[in-house]
Amino acid sequence: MIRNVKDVSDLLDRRLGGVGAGALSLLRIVAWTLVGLLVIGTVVRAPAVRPGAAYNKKIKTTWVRDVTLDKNDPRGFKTRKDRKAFTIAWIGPSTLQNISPERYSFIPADVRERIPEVNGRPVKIDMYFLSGARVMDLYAATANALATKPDMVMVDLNPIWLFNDTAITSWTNLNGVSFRHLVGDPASWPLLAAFDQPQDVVLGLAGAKLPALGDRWSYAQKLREELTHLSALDIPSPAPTPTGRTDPKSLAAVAAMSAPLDFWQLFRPPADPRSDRATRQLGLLRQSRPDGSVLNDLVVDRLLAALAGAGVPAIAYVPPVSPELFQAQGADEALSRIEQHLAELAAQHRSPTLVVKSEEAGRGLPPLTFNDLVHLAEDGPFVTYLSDLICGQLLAQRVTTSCVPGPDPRATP
Amino acid sequence: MKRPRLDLPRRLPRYVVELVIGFVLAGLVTLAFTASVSSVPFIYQGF
Repeated sequence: MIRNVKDVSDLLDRRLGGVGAGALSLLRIVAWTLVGLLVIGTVVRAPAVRPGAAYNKKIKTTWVRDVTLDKNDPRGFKTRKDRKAFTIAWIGPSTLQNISPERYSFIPADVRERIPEVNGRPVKIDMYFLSGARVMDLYAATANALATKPDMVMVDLNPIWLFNDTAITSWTNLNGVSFRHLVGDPASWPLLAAFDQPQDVVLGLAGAKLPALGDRWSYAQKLREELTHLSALDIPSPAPTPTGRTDPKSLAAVAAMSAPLDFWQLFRPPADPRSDRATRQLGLLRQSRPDGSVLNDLVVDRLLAALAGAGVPAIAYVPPVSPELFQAQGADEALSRIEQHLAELAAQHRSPTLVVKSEEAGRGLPPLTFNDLVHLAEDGPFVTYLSDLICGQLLAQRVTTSCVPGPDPRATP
Repeated sequence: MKRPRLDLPRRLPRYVVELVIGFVLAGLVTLAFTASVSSVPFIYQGF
């Protein structure tokens, strides 16, 4: 008769020969679990994963590839090895795009058109393109990129989010895969403590050696396809999309929110939602706190430290913002404070291999055409600027003795 | 000094049960973490 836990324990001892009764038995079970995980990862192969498939279709040359996996995929990135190529790891948020009805492209791909080879080696660009990236995401991507030992690193620092602490991270799937790269830098530990959950750490470390855990996104995708057939539910209709200015409490407005930030921006708007676009954009810029008081400072500091210590040519730059922004009073001052603070942080990480262009790139260029606040519609002059910057850095570092960017293939004669 | 006997026949059932429990746990762990990750492709709507 079973009356208490001890009776259960006795029964198990009699029937199973004392399994789990001692520390050694438990240890053997843990060991068999690990063996089991290894066996599952070997026997049940995860389907191959293709990074950035939708974006890569838009890039004409295969020398430039988006290496970012899905935003839910804990593996983060998938790069290609090619020792013969000169590999540039180019990290950036949506400002890497050129968006216009006539032409959608990526700025790194347009730069590659101008610099197809370095020292006789074809230039290969691994694009760590993180749409909607915030500063912690850029740091995580940079750490992952540096671990692949590229020949050069480029980092795009969108000034809107650089010191804006309403949104420091967005790609939380990178936490696990980045942990093992960031943990070697004790100064980054406060960031790991702030952003990583225990499961990020455990799975990040275990996933590197155990495909059964590391490839869980691919398993989930495969499983979802199977389970969809079994489900009695119909495929739901698309979420309602808001048209025009809707009530922020409406279902359509809530359905359009893809991140908590959307909620806060809607209910605690940085500027009067009825004001003109330039004023609203300025409100977003003014949310930045470039006074050294926010966690963003530590992220930028460690990002620049990683680049300075990488031992390969590295450039961090601030992409241009729309001239429309400067129509609003105080916009120039707000942006200048961000630039100045970035320069102050960069001064602490001087290195012959690192160039930090803290000034918004549009200040030194002829008027540019924009799709919106930060996305270019015609990137020609900016591509020229970046190509010159890369060549200048490669020559200064004596990586090559000759580097002359080609002309703009889309320039009107 | 007399060497201790391994007494495998008596212990074997326990070892086999430990192996089975370990493998079942591995399967459950894999399934649990597979279920914890969303595989619906992410579509970004902002900037």
